[in-house]
Amino acid sequence: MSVKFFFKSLSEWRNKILGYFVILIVSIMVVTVLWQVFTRLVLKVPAVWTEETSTYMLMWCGVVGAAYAYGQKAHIGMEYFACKLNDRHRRMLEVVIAFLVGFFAFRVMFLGGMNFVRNAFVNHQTSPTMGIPTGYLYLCLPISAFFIITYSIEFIFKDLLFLVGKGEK
Amino acid sequence: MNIPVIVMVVSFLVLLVMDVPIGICIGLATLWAVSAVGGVSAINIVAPRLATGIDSFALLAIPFFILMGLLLGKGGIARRLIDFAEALVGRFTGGLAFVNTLGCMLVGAVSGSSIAAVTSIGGTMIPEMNRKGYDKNFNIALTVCAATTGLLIPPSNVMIVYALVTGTVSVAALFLAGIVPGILVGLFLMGASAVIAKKRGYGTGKIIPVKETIKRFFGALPGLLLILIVMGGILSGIFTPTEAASIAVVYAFILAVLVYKEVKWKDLPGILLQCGVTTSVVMLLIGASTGMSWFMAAQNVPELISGAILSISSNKIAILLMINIMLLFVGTFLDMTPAILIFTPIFLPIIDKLGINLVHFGIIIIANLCVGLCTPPVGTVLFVGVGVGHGKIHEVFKSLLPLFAVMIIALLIITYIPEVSLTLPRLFGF
Repeated sequence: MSVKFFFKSLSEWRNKILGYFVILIVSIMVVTVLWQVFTRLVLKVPAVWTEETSTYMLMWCGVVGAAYAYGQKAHIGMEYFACKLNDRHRRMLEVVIAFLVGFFAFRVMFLGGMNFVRNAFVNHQTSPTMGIPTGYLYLCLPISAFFIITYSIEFIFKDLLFLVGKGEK
Repeated sequence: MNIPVIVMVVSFLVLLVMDVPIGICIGLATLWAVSAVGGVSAINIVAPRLATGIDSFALLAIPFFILMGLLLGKGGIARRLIDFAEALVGRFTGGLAFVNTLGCMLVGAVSGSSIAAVTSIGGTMIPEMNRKGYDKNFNIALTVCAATTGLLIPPSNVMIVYALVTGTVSVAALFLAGIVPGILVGLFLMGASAVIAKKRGYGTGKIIPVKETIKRFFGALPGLLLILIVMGGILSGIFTPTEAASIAVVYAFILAVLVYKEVKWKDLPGILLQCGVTTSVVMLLIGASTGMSWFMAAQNVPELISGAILSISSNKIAILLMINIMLLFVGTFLDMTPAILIFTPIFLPIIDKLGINLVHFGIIIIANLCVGLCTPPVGTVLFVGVGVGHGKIHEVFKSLLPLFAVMIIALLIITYIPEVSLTLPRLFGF
């Protein structure tokens, strides 16, 4: 098994896991809010945990989903000027962009996120209705950061390989 | 202006031009600006807000409306709405242009997304219009402009974002306020099409017999009912907007999967994933903008800007004109969601001072930024429309100009006659 093959399958596994995770979170969001409507209107005893659960699911969907979206290059940017560059310069720019995204993920989402998680645990913060320690909930930041950094490294490698003439188009 | 604010503006613009994802542009610009102030650890300002900025039950309506739009788009409801629009307005001179516009309004309304409108309407109507001898660039330009009306006609995700930023405005009031302005922009676009069609001698569409029209109305009815369910649920107080959106998802699911069977069970994971991706793109923008707004508030930027504007003029009409011109400029290079998130808090103090209704201002901002969605260098809807219609931006641009003109006239009417927006919400007691 070549090194290249190893990394390729690793990258595919990561995409699959993240993708299934996003699907799961979105499904839970829909089901919990429907359960909230059902318990209030039909059972007349509104469930207390649904609002908080679905909101935290949105937080995880937004933050962890952002990593998957970055992997799919789904985040919007201003392509207008970058599109005017030739292929080579465009790839060089892509390296800089991937580096900046990776830098943001590491500095803000990972280091800043870990500070935030730590503070939440130190101050014994818990969620208002269910009493979950919020430190666990904020773990979405460093987790998402980890995946974004792996994508950044992957993109930088692919673009550099292309620039030295060994990569795929 | 102080140095940290300059750091923020310059780094944001440089990163933006480099095609860095906009959420990351906002995040990095805030990070460096807060660092330039010193004293606090910048990462501890930006990081928490990425998570807590989106920790809101009201925002949960956004993924639901996205999911509803995906189900409706793939579920064959868009096609039924176009068929109904054809029966209504196809018979006139330039009829296909009317069908296109009305189709965009209907699909844009029920899907809450102008991208969905431009892809589904553009995909069928642009080739059809090309075949009937309409100028291709006009067809693309019209679809692009008409698709934005769906952002004013409820349900609309950008209104939920606006309600979140202001903190006090009711989503239901905004939804009601957008209906008439959305229809107004659509009618203006149809008026412009009528003039162009007459001048260029475009033909009439086919006349659909009454019996067929009634049949098509019932075909489109389930899709149209969705708007009623959402609005009725919210206005009667039975549902919060988020809950109404979740019911809309179930309704769209039943239609697309169980009744029309155009979405298969095996398609569902892909649709859920696409919903998650689109949601996370919006949520990253919201989370990052929350940090930037915090920074600007801490640096008194909103007060500085309102002071600067008031020093030029204290006339309400002149100030609204200035705000509109600034927003039109902003809209050319910023997408709607980040523009609303960043610029609403900046203009709030001055809007407050002038005594302008916040619901009315929300409609002004959205109607204004709709124009920006159709302009390069950043015009999401324009890019998708040009892609769907196989055109080129610089060729389409000339055909866009007359349509921009009527959209701006409609914008001025919306700006200076508050009743256009506010009559409906007032009728319902807002």
